[in-house]
Amino acid sequence: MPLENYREKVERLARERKGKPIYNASVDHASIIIERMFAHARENVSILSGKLNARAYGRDEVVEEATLFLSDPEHRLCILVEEDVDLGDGKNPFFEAFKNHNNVSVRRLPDHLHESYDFHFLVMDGDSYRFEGDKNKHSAVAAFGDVDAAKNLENIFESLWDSGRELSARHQESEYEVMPA
Amino acid sequence: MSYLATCAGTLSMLPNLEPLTAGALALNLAYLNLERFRYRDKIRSRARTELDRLNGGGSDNTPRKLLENRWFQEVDRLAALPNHDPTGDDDLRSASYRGNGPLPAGPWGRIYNGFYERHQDMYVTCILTVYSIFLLALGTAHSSGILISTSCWFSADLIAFTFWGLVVSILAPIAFVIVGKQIVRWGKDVSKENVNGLVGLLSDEAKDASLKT
Repeated sequence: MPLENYREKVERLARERKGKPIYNASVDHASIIIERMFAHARENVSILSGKLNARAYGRDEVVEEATLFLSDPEHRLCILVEEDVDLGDGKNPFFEAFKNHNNVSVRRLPDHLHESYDFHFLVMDGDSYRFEGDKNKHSAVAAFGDVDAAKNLENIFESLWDSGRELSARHQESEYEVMPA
Repeated sequence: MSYLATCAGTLSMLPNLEPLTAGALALNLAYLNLERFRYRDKIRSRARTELDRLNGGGSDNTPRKLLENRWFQEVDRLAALPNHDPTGDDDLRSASYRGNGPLPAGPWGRIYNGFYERHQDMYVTCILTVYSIFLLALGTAHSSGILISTSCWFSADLIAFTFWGLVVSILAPIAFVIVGKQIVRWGKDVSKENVNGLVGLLSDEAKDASLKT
């Protein structure tokens, strides 16, 4: 399916928010889904990822929609990563764009917890998600309006969140610090 | 009285069936002239489109649990339906479409497997074409007084067999087209439903995901 058609389909599912799943086979698909998730998120977005792949999250369209989402101070973005990431090194446009946002929190999960799950996911507003069943692959399934699955993922995220160490570059343009949770 | 004399004296009804015979010949020839492999071409094309939803257009990114799932293997089998082309240039399997799985179950699958997969439809149509040509030639021979020794085969008492044979010859290619279209629809539906089912399985994983203890 051409990417434009895929984008239209994702947009339609996002507007309907009826929980119909859509498969995501490639980084291009991932990027489109993430972009539309930020475009349709109403309150919060939570992400469990390896290091927030810049090929999916760093694209202009994704950063632009995330910027619009985060322009509302009531909106919140929480990111849990498994790898050490330097928020200020400029390698990932996504981190670069939001490293100083007050409504963005980034935490790193301790290594021993990485074995406790095989998946990565993004969950928004407790009713929509993008879920990678195998965290070593880009393929994933996404759904807008699937409350049961999204709530489950949200619970998992919350239980992991407390174990993460906060990575912060806030108020520091050139350096960032690692703070205990 | 000899057989030949008796038979020659019988009035052949075969020339009366000439319009029916010509119709049967035309329809069977038309069926044979249809694009070959049309049924499987359409099924393959849809199955590949559906599989591309899972592999991103050929990337080797499909999760193993999907590759091992029967629904996936059925669509993969449809995506690599062989033409069974007599030239032998027929291997449509590739890295993307292995075609080693089973054909989807159900009556349409069985009909495809039993009647279309190896061109039995074409062979039957060939036989009916030859049958029609034979009757057309014989009818002409009878009406023009040639080969009157076979007239008794088509007497008023026996012509009903030929009539119904010709009706079958006319209906057969029409039925093959209708059944073929049903099989194409079945193949497309199975491809779509199976892939949707696989995506549904993955979304169930999101519902059932949990942390290992």
